[in-house]
Amino acid sequence: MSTFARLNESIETIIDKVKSNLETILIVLTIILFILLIFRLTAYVYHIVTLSLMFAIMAVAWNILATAGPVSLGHAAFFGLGAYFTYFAMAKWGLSSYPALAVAVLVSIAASLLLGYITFRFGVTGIYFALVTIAFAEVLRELFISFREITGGSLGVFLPVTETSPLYFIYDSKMPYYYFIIVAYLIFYAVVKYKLRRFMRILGVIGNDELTATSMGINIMKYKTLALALSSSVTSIMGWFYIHYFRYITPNVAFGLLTSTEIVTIGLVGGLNIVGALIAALLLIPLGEELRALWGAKYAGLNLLIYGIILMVVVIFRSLRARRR
Amino acid sequence: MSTLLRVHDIHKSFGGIRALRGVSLDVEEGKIVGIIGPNGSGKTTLINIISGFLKPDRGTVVFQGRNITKLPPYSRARLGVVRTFQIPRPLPGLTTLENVAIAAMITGIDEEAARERAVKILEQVGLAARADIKAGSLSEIEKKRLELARALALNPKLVMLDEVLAGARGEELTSLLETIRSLKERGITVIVVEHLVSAVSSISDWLVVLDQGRKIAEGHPKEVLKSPEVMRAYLGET
Repeated sequence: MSTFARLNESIETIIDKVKSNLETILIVLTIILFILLIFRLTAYVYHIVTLSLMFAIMAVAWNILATAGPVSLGHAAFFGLGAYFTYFAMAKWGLSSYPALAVAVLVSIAASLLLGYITFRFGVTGIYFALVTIAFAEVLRELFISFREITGGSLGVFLPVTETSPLYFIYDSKMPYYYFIIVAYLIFYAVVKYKLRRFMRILGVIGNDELTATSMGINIMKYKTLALALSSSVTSIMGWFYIHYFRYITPNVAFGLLTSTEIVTIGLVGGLNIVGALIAALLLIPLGEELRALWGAKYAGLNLLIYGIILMVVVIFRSLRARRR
Repeated sequence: MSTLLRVHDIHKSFGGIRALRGVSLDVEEGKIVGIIGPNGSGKTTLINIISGFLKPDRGTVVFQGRNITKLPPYSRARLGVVRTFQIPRPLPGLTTLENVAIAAMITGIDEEAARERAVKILEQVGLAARADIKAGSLSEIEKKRLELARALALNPKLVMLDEVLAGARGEELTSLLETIRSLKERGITVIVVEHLVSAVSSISDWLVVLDQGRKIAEGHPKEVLKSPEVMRAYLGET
């Protein structure tokens, strides 16, 4: 047996073990996340975990859509819309955080319906769908850079902080955000696992074989559109979270290819299960941040290079695994 | 007996090829109707049009008195017009049982009930022993049985079987025919599209013969097979 085959096999054993003990792992991870609090580690650690959970949630949201077939390479579009429309709602229209959240979600649902209409309606699938989504995010990025008077241009915008209050989801400390994202993650886990079970199975049938799905009486357009709308709303909620957490965003972060790539990489490494996404995010986000912190000045984009390599390895590994079945 | 399905004057061309030229057909409720014909006679095209996967250029499809010609295929499946595919399309990563259970779930029952129903249906089609095997590793004949099982899980009123018998021999064939006959006993109307004449005519109450996109004969199987046009279509010009 070659070294590669042996390595491949041991990785598969690990994956199978993880898959059969998902709940336990989730509980253990959650406990660890709370134990971290006792040790009063540096703010940096909590920051990294917060970011990881945020990306894990977006990766799962991305995977909900991918389960039905469409692979989005521009999911940052919804993240960005969520963040910017939260800013508009709060800074320009004087709303507090939670109405702003509703605005963010509604805008991203509207955008997803538009995207769904121009793609699913005309049978744009596979690589072409992926290209359309990249274009979608890029067009938004360009628009938000160009319309400087409204969007603040490429320098981005600050969320005006008037007071620290739960009403504005603004806190002096970063810790409430840490609690929030852990709870959000657990709620999302429960919803996907228990409430969306049937929905996810139907999406799985569509992702496997659209002809079979149709012959079973599944309305493919409807389910794909619902999947896209759900996926984009959850992603936009993370945009809302992000701008409260950082209080600052630029078009390059909001709609950038790096953001989309991070979502896709974590989504692919973690696979379609929420615990997998969490593990993947807890590994990849710290890695990306460290690379940026240590080498960012000297070798800008090194984290992107690493993401690219990881993506390639995962895709090759997956297709080998799929072919063997 | 009432008419469950009425197909009227269906025309369908692909480019320059006229696959169907004015085919009409009445299917009585609770019967097994066999549709036979040489390769390229338009059998599968007709199934595709009845199930909604293809739109006819002209003509109507009426199911239970309702004109369904413009309905999308998934709505027809919901109404109870269910088909199988000539080349089986199982969901390979799922087990045989899961394949059927998902179909049952789509009819609106919960997961537990769907599994129970799937178990029963697998017994009916003779796949109970293969319930926990990945559908991708079933044999071709077993995959055809799975197609049938999945169609049954959808609570059909009309099942259209596209060449499920092809490739089956001896005992396999007998038991498949038995399964099809049992559908009739449960009040399900069946259209069997087949290349294999003898097997189909043995279970059909009514036999329809297509040739080059036209219906050339129909009636009770024994009489139809004797008709000179049918002999000519199958044996060539004499």
